[in-house]
Amino acid sequence: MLTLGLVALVYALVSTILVQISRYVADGRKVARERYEFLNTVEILRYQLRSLYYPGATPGLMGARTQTDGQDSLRFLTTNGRTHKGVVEAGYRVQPRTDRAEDDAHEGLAPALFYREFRFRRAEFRTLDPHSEAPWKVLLDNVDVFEISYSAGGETWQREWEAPESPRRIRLRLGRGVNSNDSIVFDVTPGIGAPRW
Amino acid sequence: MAALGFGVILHSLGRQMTLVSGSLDRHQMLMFASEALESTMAGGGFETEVEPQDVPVGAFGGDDEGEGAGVTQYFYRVEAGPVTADPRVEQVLVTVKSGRGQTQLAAYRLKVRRE
Repeated sequence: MLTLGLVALVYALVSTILVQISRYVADGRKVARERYEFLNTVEILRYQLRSLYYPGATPGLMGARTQTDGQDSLRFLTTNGRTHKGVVEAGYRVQPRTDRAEDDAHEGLAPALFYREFRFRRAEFRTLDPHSEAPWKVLLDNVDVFEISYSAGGETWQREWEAPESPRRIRLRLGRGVNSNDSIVFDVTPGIGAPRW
Repeated sequence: MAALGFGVILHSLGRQMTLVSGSLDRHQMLMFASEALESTMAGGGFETEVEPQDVPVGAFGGDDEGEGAGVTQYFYRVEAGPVTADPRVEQVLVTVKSGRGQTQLAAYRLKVRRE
């Protein structure tokens, strides 16, 4: 009887440890995947801005603040689109998700980073129009900080940009919201399109 | 054997957790290193006679905006050194440290030496 009790105790201990380890592994995999997506998005956005296309006569980048502090919108022309080759119009903005199912309602409260991209072969159609009908798609879930500053000379910074010339430096701050402290801030120097460090 | 097996599993688990938890920090430092290199080299170089110092990353762009984001916990140091294989070239090395402790990384770029 005593032996049986000891065996049961050891079995319970081993089972508990294994269950806990599997939980840690599952949580770790989830965090790792989220961070990979986060950093991948940062890298792609960075390269797109480094490959900023400025036509000259009209603005190639328009950045504006929205009614929600820290959730700016950004539209620009780039030669490094996600899905298209050539010069494309790219847009980023943060907004609440509305396409969540009922059982995901608690996650749907967190805003997400949305992206859209479309190309126009003819330059006169590249207007950076905010009301264009290209659909916004979720790029990254659970993002509530998308803050951008622009600098014409590298010294002073402003929060909006619609000048006909390119900013010399762009500073972005991207941060996750619910249940995460992931945040990253980085500067981009437009005009250096090569994907290098 | 069981203890050894558990030890190996726990060690592997801990190492993976450490890698994941530090990934964002390392990437942030990599970006600061990139920016420091580009800013330094775009500015036409620097005084090699001056002793290199740790500069808080909050100084990027010349404003104090970084303080709110907590980026002042990072420091970088830029220094140049000769390349023995080719005297016409010098190596610009940037080292970024995390103020929280032990993490640091270094990156370099080669530059043609100006006479």
